[in-house]
Formats: sequence, structure tokens, C-alpha cells
Amino acid sequence: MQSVGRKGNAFFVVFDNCTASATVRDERLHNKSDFLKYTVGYILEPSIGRPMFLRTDVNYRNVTSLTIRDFIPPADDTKLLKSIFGHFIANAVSKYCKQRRISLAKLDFPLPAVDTIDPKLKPKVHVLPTYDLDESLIDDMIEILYRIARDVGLSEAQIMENIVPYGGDYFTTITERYVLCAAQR
Amino acid sequence: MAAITSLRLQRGMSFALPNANGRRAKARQVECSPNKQLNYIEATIGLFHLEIAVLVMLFRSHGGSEKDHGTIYYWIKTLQRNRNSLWDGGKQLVKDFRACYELFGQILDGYLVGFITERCGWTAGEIKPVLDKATDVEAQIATLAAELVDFGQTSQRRQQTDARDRQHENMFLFLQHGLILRNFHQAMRNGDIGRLLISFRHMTCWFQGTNQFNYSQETIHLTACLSAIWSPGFKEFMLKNCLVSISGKRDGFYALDELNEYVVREVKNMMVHNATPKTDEHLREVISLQIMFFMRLKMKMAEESDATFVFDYHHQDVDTSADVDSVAKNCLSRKVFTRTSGRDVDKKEVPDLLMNGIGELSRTTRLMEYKAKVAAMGIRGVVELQNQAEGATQHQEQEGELEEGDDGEIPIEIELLGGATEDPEESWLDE
Repeated sequence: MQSVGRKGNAFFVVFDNCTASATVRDERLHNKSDFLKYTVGYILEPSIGRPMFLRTDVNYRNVTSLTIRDFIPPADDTKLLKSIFGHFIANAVSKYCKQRRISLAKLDFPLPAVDTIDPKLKPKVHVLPTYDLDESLIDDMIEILYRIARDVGLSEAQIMENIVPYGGDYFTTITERYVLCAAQR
Repeated sequence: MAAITSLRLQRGMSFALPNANGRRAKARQVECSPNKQLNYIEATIGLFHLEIAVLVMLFRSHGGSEKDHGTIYYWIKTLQRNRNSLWDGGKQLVKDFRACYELFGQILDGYLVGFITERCGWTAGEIKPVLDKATDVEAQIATLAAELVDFGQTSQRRQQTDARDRQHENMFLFLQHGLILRNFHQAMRNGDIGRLLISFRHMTCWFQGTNQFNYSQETIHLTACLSAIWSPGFKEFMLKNCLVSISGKRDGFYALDELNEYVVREVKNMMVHNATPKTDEHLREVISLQIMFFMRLKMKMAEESDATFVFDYHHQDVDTSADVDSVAKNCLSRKVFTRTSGRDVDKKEVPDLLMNGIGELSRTTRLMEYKAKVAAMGIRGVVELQNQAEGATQHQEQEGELEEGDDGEIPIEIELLGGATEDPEESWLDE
């Protein structure tokens, strides 16, 4: 896994909490049921490598160019949605007719493909070690992020110059942001 | 022993508070050298959890009383589902995502089949003879699809105060919401980023008019990232890698966070009750790294032993026609698919999520605040807005608890039914 960082190619980190209960049949003062909180994640290495992204690839000052149009569904979507809705309606009716043995002519409502990912380009998934750390604790979250950087083999130069995308659920994401923005004075 | 001394960051707790967590994080990060700072991280939410949040929103919007025709609770009762295993009424959250999504899909299919049957000339009785004889099904489907993409229709009808038909409006909104959600789900399976973004743009607007402040803020940020913050190359990379097909199958794509749930499940399955510190460490440091290898190994063994059905059985579609038929016939008998001016049997009005969201965005205060804070403070601005959203959510939850406390029926119902269905063996939690 150390080779992922050494290659210098862009990759994706995903992690989440893994909570398991450790139940005790006969509870006593010094033997109580509890939850075991671990962190489980993986590295996604795309099949077609490209160099890691630089800090300049993320520029928060560009938000000034945003307008309300960026957030509202454009009119161009309507035509596509019509085809998509047509396909799903036809699919529902055909499925029902097939299951109820109703004779129905084949409905021609193909699902439009807009921008598909090639399934043959299978990425490599490197599962990270399961960390005995709880992402809801700030100390542990910082430790998790350090451990991932170390396990992946990120160099000091990469840490200072590049950008690594991280993914997860909402809570993981906001905790990561909270920790990393604490470094900014 | 960091885990013992460290303070816990509760879900829903505002980060803005000058608490020990904030001081601790700042102390640990500000004082460390640049090569130990974490500014290289660009954190983004996963699409699977976004889909769960959307389903929660739709359950809340189409909820209501089980006595009101067309609400989710009405269909849960009619289709004889166990409400307590699907939906947490107290917290207003989805308990079982898959079961909820399937139920939502069956209601949607029922509406679609009923609508088309009615358009094909149904007057009374069974659906089969009508569809058997129908010759213009394709034309009716095309007409219905064209009507459904007119997202301003319901809001226009709602402005006509004297000719309302809430039952029909609610059903129409259900169809629009359901089809957008289905497109999002199927686009994820098909690995189609273009179709996924079409649904995502609608969902971003939907969140703006709801009380799900966290995702309302997060979808604004994700849209901003896609439109302006990320460079074209980085955006392309993020989009092309937000879904992954491990099997190489055309319809085998998963969101990254969904794949991680698989890894979590596999790791959990390998945990044993009689673990020692040594075996636990071996599992975490050695075995769990091999999860994907084990998956490939299982597939290879199945392939070599001609037992490929082992990996195919879960792709078989179950026969949902009885449920679909029940929904369709129920609606046909009540003439829900025919707009009847002045019909007002439904008390509840389902919110027009898209129009409400666009209305909220048009006020521009939310966008202006986002732009001002993020342009000035960067990621710190995003975090500050998250804090506000967390605070608003917390406030809303407290108000909800107070309201529930006033109503004597709800806590008793939850307590009794919760106690009856809770299984101590199923106390494994995800999050």
C-alpha cells in the first residue's frame, strides 16, 4: 500500500466508523457491555493513473463567480428527463404486465446514456488496516488522518503541495473539515 | 491511550462552541509543522449517504396520517408492512434503507401502472383486460412523461384556490419525486454521471426548502465545488471516481461510501466474541487488509466449481405485482388519477420540494452568505456554515422532542412497539 503514495498518482481515500457491540451476559461492576469503535476504510486507485492534484486545483475564492443559475436545474435537462421518465414508466408497466401475464407489445423507451464510466476500467481497491480509533474523538480523528497518510506512503512534499480527496458519510466529512481547518490561523 | 483522555464530539453538537474539542484540535494542529498539517485533505460527502438523506426527506414530505389516502403511512398499512422496522417515527429517520427504498418503488410503480391503465380507458374492474386490449400504451407513456417533466404544474394548480384537488396533486408530486430518486439510484448502478447530476441538481433544490439543514448546506457546497471551486481536471477526476464497479459489470457500480459499508460489514463479520488483544490486532492489521482479495477468491472458487449462482441469486427481481396491483386498483377506485376540481378530502398538502427550494434559493440570502464566507475564509467559512446548520438541526430536534413530549400517544406507542421488536442480537451498529 505504501506504493500508492510513492507512485505520485491521484487516489481517493474513503473511511467510516465501524461500531460493534461487545455484550456481556452477566454484567458486573468491572465487566460491562460496551461498544467497540473502529475505523474502516480503503484507498481507491484509478486504473488510469494521473499525477496528484496540486493545491491550486482547489480555489475557494472562485465562489464569487457563482450565480443562482448554477443551482437551478437547466432547461436542457427537460428533454433528457422526458426520455428517462418515459423509460422508467415503460419499465414499470412492462414488468407488471410480464408478472401478470398480460400481453403487451414491446415498449421502445431506451434509457439515454449521458456520461457513463467505463466499467472495464476497474480501479484497485486497497483496504486500509482497521484502526482501533474512534472518528468521533478529535484526537482519534487526527490520529486516523496521520495513520492513513503514513500507511499510504505520502511524502512530506506531497503533504505540503498536493490535494488528496477524502470521502465518507456526512459526519466523517464535517469532522475532517473541522480538524483540517483548525490548522488555519 | 488517546481514546480515554480525548473528549467525544457528539453528533449534532455545534463545532462553533469554544469548547475543549475546539481548543484541542487547534492546539494539535496549529502548533505542528507544515508537513504535519492536514491541509492536503479535500473532504466530500458520499453519494450513498446522500441518497439515504433524500429518502428521509421524501418519507417526511409524503408522510402524514395513515388515515389520509396516499401518504406513506397509508401505504405501509395497506401493504401490511411493519412500520417500526422501516421508519423511526421519533427521530424521523429511515431505519432500513433497502426496505424503505423498495416500498417507495412499489408505490411508485403502482401509481404509474394505475395512471397508464386509467389513460387506456379503465372504467371499472380489473387492470388486466384493459392493458390486454390497449393499443396506445406507448403514446400514453410518452404523454405522461411529458406531463411529469413540467415541474411548475403543481405550483400553478395550487395558485387556483377554488379548483384544487390535493389528492391528485400529492400523487403527481410523488411521481415526480419518485422518478427523480429512481433516476439517481439507477444512474449510480449504471455508472452514469450525467444522469446522476440531473437528479442531484433537483435534490439540491429540494433540500433548500426543508428542515434538513445539514444536507441543505452540504449540497450547496458540493454544487459550488463542481461549478467553481474545483479545477476542471479535479472535477473530472472526482466525478469519474465517485462510483466504482468492482465486478466490471455494466450495472455493477457502487458509490464509494456504499462500497465502504461492504468492507465494514465484512470486517464485522470476522469479529469474534472471544477475541483476545492478539487476535483482535491480527484481524485489524492483517486480515482486514485482505477483504477485497477474499471477495475475488470467493468469486473465483464459485466460478471454478460452476457455482456462479451463489453470486447471482440476489440479482433476481422479486414478483411485486401483487403490491403494485393493490396500489393501482386502490387509486383507480378512488379516481386519484383524474383531476377532480374541488376535491379536498386530503388534509395534508405535500410540499412542492423543487419550487419551495428554488423559492428559498431565489431569496439569495443563503447563497450570498455562502459566497461571502467561503470567499473570505475558505474552508473555515464552510465549517462555520456547517456549524450554523448543525445548530439549526439541534434546535429543531429539541423542539421536536418538546412537541412529542406534549403528545402522550407517540412516546407510549414507540416505547411499547420498540420494546417488542428490539432484538439484543441485532445491536450491531453502523453509525
